[in-house]
Amino acid sequence: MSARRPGVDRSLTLVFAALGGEGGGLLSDWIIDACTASGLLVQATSIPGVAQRTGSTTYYMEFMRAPESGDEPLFGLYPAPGYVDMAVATDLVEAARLIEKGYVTPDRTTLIASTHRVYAMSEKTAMGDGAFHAPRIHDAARRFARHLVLRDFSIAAREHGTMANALLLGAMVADERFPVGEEALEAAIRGRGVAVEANLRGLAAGRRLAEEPESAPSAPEAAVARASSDDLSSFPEGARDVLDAAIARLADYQDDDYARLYLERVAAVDRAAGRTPDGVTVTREAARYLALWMTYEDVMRVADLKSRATRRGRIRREAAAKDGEPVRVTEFFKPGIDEFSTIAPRFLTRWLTALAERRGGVERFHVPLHIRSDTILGHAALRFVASLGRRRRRTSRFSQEQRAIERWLAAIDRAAPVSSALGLAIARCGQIVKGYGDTRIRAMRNLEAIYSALIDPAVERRDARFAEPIDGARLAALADDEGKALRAYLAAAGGMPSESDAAARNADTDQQDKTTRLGGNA
Amino acid sequence: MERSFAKEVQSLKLGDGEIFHGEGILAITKALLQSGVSYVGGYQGAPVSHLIDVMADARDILDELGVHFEACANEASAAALCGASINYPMRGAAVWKSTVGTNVASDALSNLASAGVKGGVLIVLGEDYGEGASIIQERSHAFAMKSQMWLLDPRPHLPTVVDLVEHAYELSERSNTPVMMEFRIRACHMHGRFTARDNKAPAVSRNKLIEDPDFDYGRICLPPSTYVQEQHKISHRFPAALEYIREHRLNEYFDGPLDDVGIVMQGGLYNSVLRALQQLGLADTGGKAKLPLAVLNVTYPLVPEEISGFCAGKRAVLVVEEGQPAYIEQNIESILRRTDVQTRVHGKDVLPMAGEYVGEVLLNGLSKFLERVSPGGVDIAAVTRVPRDIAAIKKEAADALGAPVPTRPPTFCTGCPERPVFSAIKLAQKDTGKLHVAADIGCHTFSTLAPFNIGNSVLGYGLGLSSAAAVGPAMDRRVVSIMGDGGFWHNGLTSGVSGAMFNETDGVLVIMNNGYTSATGQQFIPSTGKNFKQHETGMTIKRALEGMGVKWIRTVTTYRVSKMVRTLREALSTRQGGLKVIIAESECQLARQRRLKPQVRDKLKRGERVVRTKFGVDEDLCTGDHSCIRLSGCPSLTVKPSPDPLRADPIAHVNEGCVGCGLCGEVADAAVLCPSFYRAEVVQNPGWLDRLLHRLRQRVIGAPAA
Repeated sequence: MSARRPGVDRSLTLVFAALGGEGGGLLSDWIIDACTASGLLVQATSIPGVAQRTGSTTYYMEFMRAPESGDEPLFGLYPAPGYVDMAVATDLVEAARLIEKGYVTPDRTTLIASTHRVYAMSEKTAMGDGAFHAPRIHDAARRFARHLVLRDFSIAAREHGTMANALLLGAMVADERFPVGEEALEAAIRGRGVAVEANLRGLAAGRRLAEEPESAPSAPEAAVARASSDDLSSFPEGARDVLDAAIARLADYQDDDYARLYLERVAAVDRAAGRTPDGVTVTREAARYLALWMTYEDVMRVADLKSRATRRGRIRREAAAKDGEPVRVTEFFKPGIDEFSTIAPRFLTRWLTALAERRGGVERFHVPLHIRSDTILGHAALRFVASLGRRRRRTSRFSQEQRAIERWLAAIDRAAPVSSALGLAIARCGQIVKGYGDTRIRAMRNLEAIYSALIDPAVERRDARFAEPIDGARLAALADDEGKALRAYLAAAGGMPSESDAAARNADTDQQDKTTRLGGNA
Repeated sequence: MERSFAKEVQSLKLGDGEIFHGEGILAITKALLQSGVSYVGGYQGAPVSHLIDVMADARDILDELGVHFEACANEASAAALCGASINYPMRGAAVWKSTVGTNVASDALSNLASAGVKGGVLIVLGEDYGEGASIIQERSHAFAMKSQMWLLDPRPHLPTVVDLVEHAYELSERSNTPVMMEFRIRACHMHGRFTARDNKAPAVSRNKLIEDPDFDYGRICLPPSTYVQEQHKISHRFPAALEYIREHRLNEYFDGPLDDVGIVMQGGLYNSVLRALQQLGLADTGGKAKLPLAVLNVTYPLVPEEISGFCAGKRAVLVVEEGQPAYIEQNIESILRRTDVQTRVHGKDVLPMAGEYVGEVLLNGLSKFLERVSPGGVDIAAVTRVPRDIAAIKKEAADALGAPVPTRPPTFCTGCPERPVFSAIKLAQKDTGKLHVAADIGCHTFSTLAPFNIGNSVLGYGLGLSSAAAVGPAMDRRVVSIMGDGGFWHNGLTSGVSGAMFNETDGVLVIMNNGYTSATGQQFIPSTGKNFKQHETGMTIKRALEGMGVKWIRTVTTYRVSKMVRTLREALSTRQGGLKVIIAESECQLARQRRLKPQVRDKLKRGERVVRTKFGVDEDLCTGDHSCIRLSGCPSLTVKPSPDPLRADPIAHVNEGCVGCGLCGEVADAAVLCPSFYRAEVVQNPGWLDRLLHRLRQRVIGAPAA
């Protein structure tokens, strides 16, 4: 063991970044116990505080062999930038935080981190993709660490029924500079008596994982090229993977005719966008969002997807149910007039809607319906509703959605020839269209606001300079669900004024304002 | 407490010569017993909760020694506890989080300090300052100065800390003055070791009773005694303290070859200053520095002779004093002026006025100081390069990452019963319009963070309702005040509820009744139902409210979001005036899981039927708009990449941390969000009926597919 002991000349420093509740305290206890038993001097400290409630926190340790003089060495209480030998993180963004703070330096730091993500609130609440860009963290880690171990320790942790802390400990001990050996840590894990067997397995697995060469990060799942019955040779190659997936989706959603309608629509976009690389991107993105929009989630679709055998299998897997363990599944529906209208004849819907609007708005009328989809009756009910999907074309919602889709496609068709960027910006606005109930209504309202402030004038004036503001407006619409960011954005861009002062503003100056500011932007 | 501290309690039993291993705050606990205390009390709060927890669990030791432990209602009662030491030679200790706890305690502390003590009193302060702190950023130092109490700030080295605790009692008794000892967050959680001594049974205690109560008008805080007491502070107590500090060398002085300059520091900052000197190449591994050092383990009062003696003959000294105002620096300046020592004093000119002195801050400050005074024999270029290199590497790292790493403040735990209340308030506001919410201290303060951002002001522990008193009448809508059960008993009942009733306040109060002071580690409170001795208390929030005359009281289970929304709407709209109280009830999930997990494990082992609940999101139904997350913020409700190649945005996902609290379903229901959520109940060790039904259903519906 002497080979792995830190020298007496200075202490070996270790900082461990985790989230509250991830077992960082136990991890330091294991290390402290192992060091103490091995005759090493160790000092550890932490700042749990309220961070123990899932906030980010750090644990800091220093080790040293007792000097022969008998003098006590000096141990620090804070990790210092440029002075950390081993930096360990339970999640990729926590690793980034260590790098950001200067605790990872090429001259001395071994960085060990799990590549899985526990998303921060701001990353989760964004309407779109708010996640921190992981490849940048990988790049920075490679650049700043002297020795780097980046693995997804969370998968192995789950397999061994433990937490990432035991796995990370295994990875630490795999590093030659770590002050104690595996046996000492095993003894410490036994000594603490917390989930001993699972943690011992985790320790060994972590070590193996760290010693294996890093497997190339799996590329984002590429759409599986499917042999489709439709001939897609008339479409640009760069869009065919999307079309493949889309056709399957459309046919599954409705029927082959609906899929054909989809292809006709895409063909129109393709003609307008042209076959330049940028034009193909317009087609591809429009095709993507068109497929999602045309397969909007109505009550029949929901019932259909919820009553499939593959879904039952997925639920069993996610709930980790063992063979022979029954799984009861409860669905939470709260159908309202919107949902009713997709089933009922139109005259009844119109009458009901009118009634509801007099009584305080359509969105107020909902019936909570908790259905057990694992029971025979519940399943039958879902299948029945799903079967109504055959007459989807006759619902008012269908015509409504098709009108909105046509409007969007028409804008793309007119904008793409002006500039691919403008066409692309409008196509990407399809991203806004999502959600159920209120969320969907607000999304459509946001889209409407972008139409009137930016898209309509852009198309009208054939003005390519609108591309950038439209992109910005889309991102703003996805920033929050109350339309706050979008209102602020449009107001700043001279577009839609905030709701309260909308009436007060003079339309002429509004128009003028918008034009001049947009000019400035471009 | 639902947790056991049996292991920690064992280390309190160590005797002469045995080696103690453990955290700083536990070492202090042990040191109190070694000092022969008669009583210990306090109020929980990071970073010193541990002392209370361990004491509450250490009844056998305390009984044996005759030490009284009091789980105090708040810091004021903890300080008042020390009244025992005014008349009798009883040593005692009180502990709390500072400065908030000291604020609450200061009425009793002032009186205690004025009367003076016969038995030694030590106030252990968890100085909650800097990274990891949860409170307003202030210093405890001012309290020591204004009341004439002595303030110790020991070097973070357990043997030193333990010695100083024992000295603190001698000092307190020699100078008839309560002594405060502050510990920073990291020092409290610092793991170290020291050689233990036997515990000492107190001279006066539950086991050795007082037969003759003492009366001395001189110890009553009423004129004319108070005038005499103030004079006594100056004429006797202050000089006695200086003498003791000097005589027992409580402050430490270290020589160094570069003796035309020096550093004076708070003891608590010693390790960090030395580490910075090491980084600058000015100290060796053992902490031998090239500059002379004055380590002030006692930061109030300063001993003038010591200060002027250290500074005399030096061109300049650096005072390293964390936080503001710079009391110590001013004190040193004034001592040097009076003793006519012409040493230049640096401090806040090279170090920041505000904020924690972490390694990098000290490194920069020391480097600046050295650059200004440039002591002979120091390669200034080499010194200043160190912080420059670090700044450069941080800049490079920031550039490489491209954007600031998202912050990760604490939030409600998975399954927390308080979260649904804020989901309900957020939903209720859709109808009522924006509300002014007077927030309070506790886990529920996390409501002010994303995704709720609910709470317009925070004024102090238990002060939610009081803080709505003036803004309420000026508001278009009724104000909603929040209070935790911890805050309610701490002082919310008396300052908030009684005030509101007396003034006929028309408003809504939501009391989070989760059974414990959850934020500080689930300590028991009156409404927990039992005390730390596990005896029934019979105290409830509802009965206390009724006793105050509150008429409109509704108790709602927090997880019932729809019902909570309806109740809130009713409270906000009813014609009935006066205070409307909603008791939002459900047990702290941390405590609940800690209790349930072993029970479930045992049941499963015995082959008994257990139903495990987990929520899930259908990945093909979720459209990735994340509105559920904005209404919940549960750590186990997260996002993952969509398996659908057409969907670019990540979708919602319930991870394996889910405890099945039910909020997802409730929110989806109350907010009419989306049908993607489902509740899965796995029947473990199913009975024959379960199995029969399961087989039947599978036959009719069809087996699950991969």
